[in-house]
Amino acid sequence: MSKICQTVKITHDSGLHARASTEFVRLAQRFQAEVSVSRPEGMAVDGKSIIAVMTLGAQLGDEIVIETVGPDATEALEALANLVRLDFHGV
Amino acid sequence: MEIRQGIPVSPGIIISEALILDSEELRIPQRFVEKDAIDGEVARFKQAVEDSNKSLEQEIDRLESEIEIHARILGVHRDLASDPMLHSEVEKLIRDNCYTAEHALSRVMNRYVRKLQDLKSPILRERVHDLQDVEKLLLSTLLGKRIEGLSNLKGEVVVIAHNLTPAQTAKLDPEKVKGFATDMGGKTSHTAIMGRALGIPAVVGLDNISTSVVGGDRIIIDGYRGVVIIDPDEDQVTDYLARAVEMEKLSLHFRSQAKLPAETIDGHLLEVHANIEIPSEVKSAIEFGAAGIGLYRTEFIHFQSPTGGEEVHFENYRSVLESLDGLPLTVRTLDLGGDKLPEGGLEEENPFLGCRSIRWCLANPEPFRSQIRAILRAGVLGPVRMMLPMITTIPELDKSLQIIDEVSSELRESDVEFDENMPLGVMVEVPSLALIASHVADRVSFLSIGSNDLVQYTLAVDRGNEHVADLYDPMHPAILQLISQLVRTGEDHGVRVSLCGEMASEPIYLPLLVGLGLREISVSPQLIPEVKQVIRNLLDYDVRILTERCLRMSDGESISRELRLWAVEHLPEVALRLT
Repeated sequence: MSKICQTVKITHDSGLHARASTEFVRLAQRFQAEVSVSRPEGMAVDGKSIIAVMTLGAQLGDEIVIETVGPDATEALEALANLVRLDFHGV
Repeated sequence: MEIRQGIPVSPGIIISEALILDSEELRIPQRFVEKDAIDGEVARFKQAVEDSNKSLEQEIDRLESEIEIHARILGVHRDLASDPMLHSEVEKLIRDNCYTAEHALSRVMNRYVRKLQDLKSPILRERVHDLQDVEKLLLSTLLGKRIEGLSNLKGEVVVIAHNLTPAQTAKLDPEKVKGFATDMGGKTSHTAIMGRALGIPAVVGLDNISTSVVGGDRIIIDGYRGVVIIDPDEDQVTDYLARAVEMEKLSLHFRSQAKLPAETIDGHLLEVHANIEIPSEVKSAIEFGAAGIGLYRTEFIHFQSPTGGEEVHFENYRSVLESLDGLPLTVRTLDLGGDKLPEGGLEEENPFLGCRSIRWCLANPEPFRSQIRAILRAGVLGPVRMMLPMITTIPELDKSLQIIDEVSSELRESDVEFDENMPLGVMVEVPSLALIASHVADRVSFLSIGSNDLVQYTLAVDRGNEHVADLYDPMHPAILQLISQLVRTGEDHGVRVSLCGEMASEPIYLPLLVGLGLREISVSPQLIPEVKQVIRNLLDYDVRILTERCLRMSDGESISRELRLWAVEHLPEVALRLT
């Protein structure tokens, strides 16, 4: 199975803060696919770990790379990228 | 093993277990388990996560209807506690290192707390508290009934913290706390004052010690040299134990001679007084050979009972005077503000240059008048002097003296007994006042140099800011010039000049202070025996020559070097502490 990825820009004012990270991780956990997140050229972290996602420290204007692999990888990637674009539903 | 260098603020050596405040606040009693207990330890951790989540769920349900924001925060906590990466890392540490669940959890959390603290975004940095809350919740669940509160610790510990606050130290059991080490702070921080008040070693300005140490780690704190060793090897422990014994012998020797007068070899008599904060310190001050109380800080009285007024103040003064049994007491009027904020006080951009101390008193005349009444009345119970802090202008001094006058008249009219002839003095803490000291000396009967603030205001250095702590130098030639001028002004006007502040308790500075002509100093009680011993080894003639040499130098570093060399040569007992 191959990995797929997408780069998205954070447009939420407070960046990937605690509650935004929570939303992201909760969504990621709904899929079977493995999810990892990284800053461009940074180390990838577990996208289902809130602590890991929070410690990325992504702020407004930063780009993050979402990578998924597994049976529902395409759906997972689409849903997560959308969540970031929609500013985590305004949390 | 890791060696850290900080700023020594309270002498002594201790080897003990670390207790981390802020992140931990719970003591981990055991760090390792037997190999065959590993599976049980992992299971214990999983159970604790489950139990914690259950209690969080209950709390969330309860709150959801009332306070939605709190419920949301607890939701984040629940997600943090269920984080799969946290679980796998904790399990790995337990299995690989035979750690207890508590110890493994602390280590993993510490690493992420540090990562969060290093982030650029201030919003994310604040999430450190959420992680620490979750750590505390999981730890307390794990420890169950074995929780030791801070106020009833079972074993001795050294306390490691980012920055100790009065609220935190108030919770600690002084019987069990044997040392302090903090990230922040300078020579005059709350940690420093508490360390000396408790007579335990303290080192501050250690950068990130609070996240480098895990609760239960073995720590050596060397309060003489400002060294902290995390997880020392056996050789270091042996060395330090030997050093601690030697130092203890030395201070016992000093203490055995504490009652001898502080007289130089050539017969110049000095008075060494004690700085205190609470009445119970008087007893040890006298045991340590104090000639009186040179600085009684009264802010604690105000904090304990902000509305208590005159009677609360009077009771405290009465109790101090009773213990002093005829020795003199100098009471400093309220010195609130700066780093000692009054309840409901102003939020100021720059509190050290704001409405603090005498400025606050003149703006809030009622508490000020109550205190003055109490001090004047206490004067009939023993020799009391009243001292006004932070005066910067003559009109300010005149206004304060006028209030004292008015209060005296009120007492006289209502036939209340008080001391009609109480000596009044000011603390010289800002350069502006030092430079017009002759006008001050015309109005009062003593001057007391508050060196901590005088250094801070002359050099424009915040004494609590570790980024500029190295610029805070009491040996800056400007400071020595100011002290020298003040002593001469005092002599010309027949007004006593004393010095209270940390610089008087630094043994290598003492020869210089004596050489500058100071004859009265005031220091923390337990430092008095050594200070007196140093004075007894000085020859006034010698130190005057030394001082003249120092006054010609252009920078504080050269002066300190000169004083250090001089001490090594002339004061063998001090030299022993410097090595």
